[in-house]
Amino acid sequence: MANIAEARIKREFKEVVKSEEVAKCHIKVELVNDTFTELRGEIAGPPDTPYEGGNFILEIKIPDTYPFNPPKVKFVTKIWHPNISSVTGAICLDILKDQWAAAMTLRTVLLSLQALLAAAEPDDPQDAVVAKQYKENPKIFQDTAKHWTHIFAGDSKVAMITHMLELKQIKKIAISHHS
Amino acid sequence: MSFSRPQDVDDRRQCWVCFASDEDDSEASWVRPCRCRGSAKWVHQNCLQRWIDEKQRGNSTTKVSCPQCNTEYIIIFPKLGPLFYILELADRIINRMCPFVAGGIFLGSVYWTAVTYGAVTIMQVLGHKEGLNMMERADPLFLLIGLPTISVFLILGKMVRWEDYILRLWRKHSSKLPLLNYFFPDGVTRPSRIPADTIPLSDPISATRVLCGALILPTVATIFGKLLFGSVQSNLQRTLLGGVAFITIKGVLKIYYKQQQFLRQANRVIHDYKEETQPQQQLQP
Repeated sequence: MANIAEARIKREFKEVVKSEEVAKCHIKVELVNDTFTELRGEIAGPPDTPYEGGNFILEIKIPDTYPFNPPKVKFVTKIWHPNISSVTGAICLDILKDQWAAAMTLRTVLLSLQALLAAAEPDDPQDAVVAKQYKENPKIFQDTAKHWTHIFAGDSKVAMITHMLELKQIKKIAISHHS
Repeated sequence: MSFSRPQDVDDRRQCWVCFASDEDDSEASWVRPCRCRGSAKWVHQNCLQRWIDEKQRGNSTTKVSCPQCNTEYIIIFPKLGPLFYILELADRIINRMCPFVAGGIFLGSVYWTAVTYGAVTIMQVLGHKEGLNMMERADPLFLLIGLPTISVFLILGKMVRWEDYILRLWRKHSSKLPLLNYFFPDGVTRPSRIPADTIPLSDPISATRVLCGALILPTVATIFGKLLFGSVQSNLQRTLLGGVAFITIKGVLKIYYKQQQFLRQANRVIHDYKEETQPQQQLQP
């Protein structure tokens, strides 16, 4: 059974690497080990959200029963969002649970997560504290989310102004020096 | 460019479960099970079987639909002999019936336990011979209905918390009852605070306490009757007197205990934390 999982991940991996979104630096997938059971995803914070300019790292675990069961995905980068635990990074998203369909792929999962960042569902929260703030105090929520993006997701004012690749590179080097 | 554009794959089959195409596996059988078009149109027979298995989780009668277009899959079973269908029907009926039968057996055993308990209680209260005589003379239908209600009434009676009412009345009017305050001098001092009320009968432990207390009452009443009212000739009267005496004594003791507990809670004091003093001394005020 693990055969199907591995063969499919290999095919999907090619698809993601070739996709337009990778070319535009919106999403990225990397292998963690050779067995294709663990991957590292990366999504860019969508524009016009408090997550803009941030790069969010995801841990993706492929179960033996993939694609009949969804991949296990959680945020490694700390993030302030009603549907994502601010402590563990666990995600509340239907397609990662009972609404999973075998036709979905790593690419569609990452794009769905990006969409989740742009459109939170505070009525079906993973983090009750964040959801409460989102509903009752949108301004403070925006500021907190922006602040967390800035601190944990490697956001910088420079990256927010320009999307030029070189400047992004400079930013990454600056941050690795900083930490 | 992504290769999963619908226009590109119209002539090229790719399975939406394993993503393999004709080149990867030329032997596998294909199926087009729903209204989906483009890249989600084709799927391997085996892959879809597995997907349906996962969705059904062992229940082979559950209907499964395409996760994309919501078309219900048309699943055709091979034709089998009549014996199979009879067995299947029997299997389904037995499956459906068993929970109800088991529930009935359970209720039945509770009922018969209650009947037995009622009969034992009557013999205990009236005396062995008199009890048997009375039950022989009584209408069987009356016994079948009357005997189980004995335990029900005992439990309902036990749930009346009359001690609490008296205790509340006493606390309200304690200043007007100088005689009681003579016996309970602590009751006079105004408590410095009202402690949090504990809700009675809310946990399973106190439910079992009610059950045990109620069912053991006739036995205790018999013992008390024999000890305190040995001179009374009638079994029934003696047991009734014993029961009343027991309930009264127990009630008074309970009221006393509850009131003392209340006062202890009400008058407790929390001390300042001091670095120097030893912890043992801090425990006792």
